[in-house]
Amino acid sequence: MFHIRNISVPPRPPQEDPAMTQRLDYAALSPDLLGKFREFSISLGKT
Amino acid sequence: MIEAKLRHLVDLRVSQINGCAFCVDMHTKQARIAGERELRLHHVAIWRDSPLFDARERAALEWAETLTTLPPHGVPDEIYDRVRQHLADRELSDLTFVVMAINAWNRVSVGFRSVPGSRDAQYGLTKAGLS
Repeated sequence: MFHIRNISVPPRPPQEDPAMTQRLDYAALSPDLLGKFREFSISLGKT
Repeated sequence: MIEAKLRHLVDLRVSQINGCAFCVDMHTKQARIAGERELRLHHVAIWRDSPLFDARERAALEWAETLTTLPPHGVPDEIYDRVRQHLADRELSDLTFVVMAINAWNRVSVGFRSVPGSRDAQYGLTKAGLS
């Protein structure tokens, strides 16, 4: 803690873990839809 | 059929427009694995002013950008006519499905904030040597 003109400035909080995480595991939640759409996407390179 | 190299350029450009970090990362790596020149990948974002893309690639990128941003009154005839000069019926049709697919993937990955590089091992992207 240090002071500037009588204003207390708290120390910085510890830096948050910079590792990013995905919001939802859609692969686990919608495996059938994902599988079908992945098949479709793959087919775009095989037509 | 749209060849892999062009598909990757389109996937990358659309992902840039949509701000999809996961997809930009993934398609950059896929393009490199497919043998794409590194400089061309840097130029995809500014392809209109780059001399590194031929007329057919430019047409595909213009079509992809137009369908991704969707002008308020549809796709102008001017753009459609220009694109048609370089892409055959089947190519333009196939390309449109490519654009549709990458836009869909972008929305999944942006919505759920997929982490760039997190599936490199699963998708065989480590061999791009960019991780």
